[in-house]
Amino acid sequence: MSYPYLEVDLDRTGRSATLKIQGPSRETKDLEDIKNQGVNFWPLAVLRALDDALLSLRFNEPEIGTLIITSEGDVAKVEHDDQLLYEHQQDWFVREILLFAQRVFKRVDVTSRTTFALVEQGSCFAGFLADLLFAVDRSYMLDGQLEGDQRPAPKISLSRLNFGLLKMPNGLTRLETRFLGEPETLERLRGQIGELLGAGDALGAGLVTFAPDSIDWEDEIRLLLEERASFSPDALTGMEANLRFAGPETLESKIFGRLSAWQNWIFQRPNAVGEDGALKLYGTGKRANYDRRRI
Amino acid sequence: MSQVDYTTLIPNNVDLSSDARLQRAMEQWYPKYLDWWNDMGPNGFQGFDVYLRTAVGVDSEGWAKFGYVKMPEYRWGILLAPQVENRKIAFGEHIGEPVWHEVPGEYRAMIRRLCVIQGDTEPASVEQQRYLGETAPSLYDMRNVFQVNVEEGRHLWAMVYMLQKYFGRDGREEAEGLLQRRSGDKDRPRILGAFNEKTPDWVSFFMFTTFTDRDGKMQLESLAQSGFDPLSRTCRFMLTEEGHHMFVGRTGVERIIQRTCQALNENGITDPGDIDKARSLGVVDLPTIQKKINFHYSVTLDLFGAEISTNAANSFNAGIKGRFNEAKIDDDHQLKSDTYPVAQIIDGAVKTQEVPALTAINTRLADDFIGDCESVMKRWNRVFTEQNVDFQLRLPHRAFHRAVGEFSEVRIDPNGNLVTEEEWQLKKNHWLPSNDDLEYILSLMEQEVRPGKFANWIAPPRAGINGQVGDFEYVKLN
Repeated sequence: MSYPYLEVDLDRTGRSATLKIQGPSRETKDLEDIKNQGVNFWPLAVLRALDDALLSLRFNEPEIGTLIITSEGDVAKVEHDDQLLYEHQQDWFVREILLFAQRVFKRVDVTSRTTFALVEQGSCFAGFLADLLFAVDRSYMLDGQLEGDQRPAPKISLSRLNFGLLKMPNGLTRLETRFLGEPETLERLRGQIGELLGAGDALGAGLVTFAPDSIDWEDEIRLLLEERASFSPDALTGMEANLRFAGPETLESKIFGRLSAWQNWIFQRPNAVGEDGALKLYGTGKRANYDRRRI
Repeated sequence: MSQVDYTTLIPNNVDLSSDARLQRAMEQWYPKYLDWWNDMGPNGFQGFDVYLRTAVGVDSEGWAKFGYVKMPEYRWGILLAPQVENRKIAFGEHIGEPVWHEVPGEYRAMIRRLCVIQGDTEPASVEQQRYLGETAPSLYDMRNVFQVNVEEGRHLWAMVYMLQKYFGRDGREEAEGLLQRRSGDKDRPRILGAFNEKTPDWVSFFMFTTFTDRDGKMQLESLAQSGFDPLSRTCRFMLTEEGHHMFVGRTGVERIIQRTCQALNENGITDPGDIDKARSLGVVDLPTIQKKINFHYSVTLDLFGAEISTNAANSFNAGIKGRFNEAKIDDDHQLKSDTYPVAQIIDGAVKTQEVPALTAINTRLADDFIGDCESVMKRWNRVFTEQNVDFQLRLPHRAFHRAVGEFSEVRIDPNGNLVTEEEWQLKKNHWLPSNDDLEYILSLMEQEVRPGKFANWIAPPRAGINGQVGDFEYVKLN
């Protein structure tokens, strides 16, 4: 699948899809320029592509159990567009873009698939795009440079959009959910808005899950994907929903979050209670035979 | 950063010089290992020259280089048995598929756990044996315990290699953990029970190397079958060294029995069960040897885990851990519908019952271990025939004195009969070493370091190490 600013590569053997987001290709000057570009304004274009890709994977590729989000582009350009969105959030058009961003990112929150993000050299997870790192189940950020790749080590950065305008179905921002009950951590992070954070900083701040270096990178990623692909897809859906939705429930999260995941995906599904299901075979030493489809 | 050239310091056949990840991991781990060795290795003997065998290669030339070396300067290496071309997975659901050269992600946690448990036993036994040098009955025996210790150190290296090479960050953390736990420590004990017991005297050491190292052999044999080829190769090479440890144990007990029989005969004592008379001669009485067997054999059986085990079934089915002599077993190697007899408590008695073979993998391995121990008993009992002493040693029933598995909740005598708690308390000192027995053994433990001389309670070996003559100075204490 190919979109403006988004390439989707399917690996059917490994049952995974890599969604590679591309950063802005041109510099947008002001609100007028945003409106002139309309649907081609980079944040809107990339969000629309992401929205379509997630839906297409959901309905057309039920066996693709793992979604890997990567990005490529100029951090400064992403920060620039991100800043425009923040400045003009009162404008009706920009407001719609931000609300749309919220809806698209919620699709990542509630997907039944396992989600990872890889922060590699040349990536551009900044501002609202960085929210994807906090939406996925695990994020891996390369510490340093890979051998033979001269591009600088990857950096991420936060913006004001990460602190209020993009809420999850539980009514909290992803950072609020991530650092539930730690308002002081949030305050500290707010102080780091706009700073370029390397792998060590990002890991130290709790913004990424792991930061393997060049020696470990390839093997860690391989094992991660193989390991996840071998687990019961339903069990993953349930447990991942648990981890994504820490904290309070809202009406929306009750419908789309962990409760729904467990009720619909675990207790009554053949993967657990069918003849070849995990619960039926538990204790026999035989391996369960899973239906790999996830809706 | 340290300037040590690890690639020449460490004998290896794993291409350490071109493996940046392994080198980096080793650079961090090696100094910690040395600290551990100096803290927890043989106490008081680190500065002496010891006549040790070092493995510098896996061929017949390289695997046994003898020479004097100070233990902290021992060249611990990373050696794997040569790769077998086109090796196939021999059992479980992946049977017939090519073996894995990388860890399959699906089984990562399982293989890592097995490596950690196996690895944890190696430094544990060094810790358990660290004071034995002070009471060595001869230089020959002193050298043997040190040889066993440095090789257990190398076996730790072998498992650390697996962890560092194949398990990334997690593996490096586990490798550090192996150096942080301590045998018998209340807060951070070694993982398995028998490795937290004390080895305070040489009778215990010989029993440990006979029985507990034999469990090690059985575990390594099962892992040598593994579909994960690097694990199989590393275990196959470890087995060559484990054989020597069991030799030390078996011949050690044999020499104790021989010396006791000689002493009884020389002094005209006809009742081999007469504890006081034997003790008056300063030798280990035979009933106490039987009790030591009962103890070490039973705590070692616990190491095989629960008789019926889902974990064992899973690792067999996954092709990670096979059975002893898997290739020689005549079945489908998948155990889809086979059953296997397992001893259990049924209606107040120990009875065997057929259970699905896949879940009885541990029992089967314990059976193979028991068979192996039976042949050791035959050798020991042969001494009585040779010396014309009317006594026989035997293995207690498998259900006797167990803390793990089917029999952990009941009291069972050495013949396999259920007994009441009252009866157990009354008779346990007849079945297991009492404090008096242990104190008596300890009272015999006096260091004998004159070349060619042996303590009164043990006979000299039939032959020296590497063909050395009787008064060879195996450890240079001057």
